[in-house]
Amino acid sequence: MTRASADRAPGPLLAPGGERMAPFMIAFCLIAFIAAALAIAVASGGRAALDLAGRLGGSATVAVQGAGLESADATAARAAEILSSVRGVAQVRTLDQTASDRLIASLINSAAPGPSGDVRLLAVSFTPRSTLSAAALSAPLRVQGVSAAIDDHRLSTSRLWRGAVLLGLGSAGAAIGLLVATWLVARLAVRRCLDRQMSWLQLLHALGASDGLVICLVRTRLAARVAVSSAIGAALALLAATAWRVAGRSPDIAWNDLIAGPPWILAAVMLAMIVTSLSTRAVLQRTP
Amino acid sequence: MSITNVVTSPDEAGPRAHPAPVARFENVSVSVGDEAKGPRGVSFALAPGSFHTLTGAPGGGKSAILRLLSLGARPARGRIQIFGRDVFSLSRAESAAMRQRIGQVFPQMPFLDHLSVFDNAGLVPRLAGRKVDDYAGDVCEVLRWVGLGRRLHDRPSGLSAGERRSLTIARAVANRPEIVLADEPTADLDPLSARRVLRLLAELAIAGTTVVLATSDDDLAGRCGAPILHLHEGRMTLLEGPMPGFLA
Repeated sequence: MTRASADRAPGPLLAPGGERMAPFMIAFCLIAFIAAALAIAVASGGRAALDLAGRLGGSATVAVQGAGLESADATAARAAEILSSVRGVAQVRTLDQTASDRLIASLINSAAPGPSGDVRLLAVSFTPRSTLSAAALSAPLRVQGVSAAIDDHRLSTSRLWRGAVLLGLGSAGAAIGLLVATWLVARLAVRRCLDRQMSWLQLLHALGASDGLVICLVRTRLAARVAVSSAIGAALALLAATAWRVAGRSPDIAWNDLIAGPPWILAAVMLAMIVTSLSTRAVLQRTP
Repeated sequence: MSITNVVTSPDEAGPRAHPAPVARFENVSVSVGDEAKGPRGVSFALAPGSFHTLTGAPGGGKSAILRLLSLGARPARGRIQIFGRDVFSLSRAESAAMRQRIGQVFPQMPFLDHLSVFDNAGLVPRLAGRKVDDYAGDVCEVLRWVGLGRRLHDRPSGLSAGERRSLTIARAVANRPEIVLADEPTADLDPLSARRVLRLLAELAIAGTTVVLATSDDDLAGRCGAPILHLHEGRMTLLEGPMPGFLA
């Protein structure tokens, strides 16, 4: 009989279930869903903005117009030749009328590109460490009598960077808000758990359980619950983002953006463990 | 039976008196709801292996004294030494470790109903960090001793009142404590079960464990034949023993 009793592991000290944690698990799940969805959105949005800023940062767009007897195409070719000789310019590409029309339409937010008439666009790429500005490009053109409007993309890139910073700050604020929400829900969950298990806690305390053991038991229980509910919430966010992408509603979401969601599970579990340790210790401190 | 104003000292504590008491109270007062009724200025010492009954009217502070002895409360005034250590000097970890050396037969203490009789009886050694292989033999032996040898895998909820009380005793002694505190251990039990519980406590004392039995039943206290610590209106007196009783 002794052997048989010793052969099997003793049952869990903390009774399975009984705390009625369903509302808290739903709350953790919802928070994880929002956090994971936010992380995916920030990852894809940030990546897209930085990609665009990177592409725009080393280039300029030059618009030239035919003047007098010179056609727009001839002016564009001349401007390209002039710009190619400017120090710091790596490549000058002349866009044909169709490409120019499309780009102009996108810049003025027009669905149907209209004819650009005698305007031609040139895409100018800079060498890697070049700091060319619109003024530096317009000077040689002016000398050669080419009238051009030049956008060195500084305004666009500065707006993109500002947008990225705002996105980062906003998402950091939202993350802090979600962490605070997790903290509060975890605190309430620990309170509920300890209220429901007070006689258990008092019994173990009376029988000589150390504070560390009691804290470990409660912490493990709550961490497991938070891990499961947060994993469900994050998985739902991943599924939603995947469906969104597959349906073509948000082509900006890359597959590797989806990995931004799961780290929240770890953050939520860690936070719940800290809250559990502190709250349980506070309750235990009230016992002699 | 004589009444003295000075309560038991280690030398008076019992037949196995020892110079180093396992517990010593010096002018201890307890703050309870009605302070006038709570124990105050209580002094006594428990010698190793002694058996004392703690008597007094219900609500007179017997349970409060036991809570102090079990490190479940702190006194409002006075000094308490358990196993030679002042309870106020103990860290929380030391208090927990010390509680593992004190068996508590408190009927109001619950069981973990999701665990078996064996697991409940083995709680204290388990909390002390012992492996199940290490304590299984002791627990089975104790459960056989209290008459629950065939109920190892049952749930406590399936036991009778007498069996539950026996399980309380088994849980209290499974880790071989140096003190066993019993609070009204025979309350609500039929005479046969009550006699059985008292016999178990007596056997513990005979085996060298310090036992304090709190009861409101003066007849029961008299039948024990042990020194009686009597609480009356907050004051404690020693009613001398030993007398012929089941301990004799």
